Amino acid sequence: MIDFSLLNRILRTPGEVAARCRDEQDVNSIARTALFTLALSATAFGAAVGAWRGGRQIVFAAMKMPIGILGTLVLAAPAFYALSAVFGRPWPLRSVLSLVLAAGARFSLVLLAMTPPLWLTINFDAPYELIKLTATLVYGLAGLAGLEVLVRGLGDGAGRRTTIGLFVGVFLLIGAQNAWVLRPYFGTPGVKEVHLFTTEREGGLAVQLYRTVGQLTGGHR
Amino acid sequence: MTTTNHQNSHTHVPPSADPWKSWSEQLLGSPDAAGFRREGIRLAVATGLASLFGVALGLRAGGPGIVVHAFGVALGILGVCGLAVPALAIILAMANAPIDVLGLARATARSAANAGLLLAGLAPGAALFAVTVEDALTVTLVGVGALGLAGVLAMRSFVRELRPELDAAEAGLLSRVALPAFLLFAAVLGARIWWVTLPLVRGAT
Repeated sequence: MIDFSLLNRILRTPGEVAARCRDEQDVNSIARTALFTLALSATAFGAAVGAWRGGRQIVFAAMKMPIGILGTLVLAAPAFYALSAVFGRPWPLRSVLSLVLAAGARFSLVLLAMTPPLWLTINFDAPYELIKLTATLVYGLAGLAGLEVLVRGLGDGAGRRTTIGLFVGVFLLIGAQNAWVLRPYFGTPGVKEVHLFTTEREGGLAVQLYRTVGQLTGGHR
Repeated sequence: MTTTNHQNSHTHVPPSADPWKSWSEQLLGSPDAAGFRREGIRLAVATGLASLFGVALGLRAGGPGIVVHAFGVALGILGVCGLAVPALAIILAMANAPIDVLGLARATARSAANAGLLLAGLAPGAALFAVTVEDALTVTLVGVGALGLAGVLAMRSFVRELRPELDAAEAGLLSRVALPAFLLFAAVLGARIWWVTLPLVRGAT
């Protein structure tokens, strides 16, 4: 099911894998391996995140993490296809999808590598804010690792920076909303009951960002 | 097969070669032999793709709202193509600019294709926001942002298509002023059509 030599190449020589995606070589193998890797790694990372609350939250977070990541890729991939075409790279959909999946595989492998440190942080009874920050940093690190595949895949030429910049913006928006819909992953501090999905109405992502900025600047409490 | 002794012969493509083109390359490409029929099809595909974004926004209201938003997004593109471009064609003809009607139609259809493809690509993400976000403000921001980006990229494509011909022919003042004025008019017209036809852009819940 999983081509380990391909995973090795995705980690070591992302440019070579990206070129194969572009040329539509081994796309079936890349897609299959990437999907399995994504699902397994995200499940492990989700379980570690849910370990902060423990019990059923481990199962819930382990279930929701791969859904969130795969869902974001599914929703964002058409945007990458359109953006790369509009900015001078009208490649076949299969090439673009395999490129996105290869990037997703690299992203999830970094998540997998960071799962034990995150779990250890939780095991040391670190405060909730520190664990949230650690998980966010791990996400950022994994995102940068995945982004390298896309950057190399786009190759040289005009429009590369704009394509990447716009795609990162779209990906972050979709990813944030997806994560927001599927919350909670850690569980709310102080709340004893464990729910698969939150039942509270807390406004949307824009409202939360507005409130957070307000709190940071002292204008909104 | 033609062989050459060029130093960069590995990049040489024989003149007779007919390379396979992806669907998006055919949609956004600019074959010189294309006629009005081909450009009409391209425009129809572009508006169809753009209406997918309208469907995504309309999912928030559901029912007739889906049709209203799909129609509204497509109408914004068709409105600019049908009202603003003919006006530009008349001004360019008055200025004796070296751009024929087919060239203008090609630039218009390609611009619409750029906008349509981008909006279709953003449609799945927009559908997520339309269906899951509690406050309407976020959906309005997402919708306006995507429509604005599509408009900017369409204009970029239009200018890239026409500017070289105007520059090469050392066009007069009227021709040079006509293009920026058209872009401003097209932006205002497109925004106005979307404002009138899309309830979500007006902030409706």
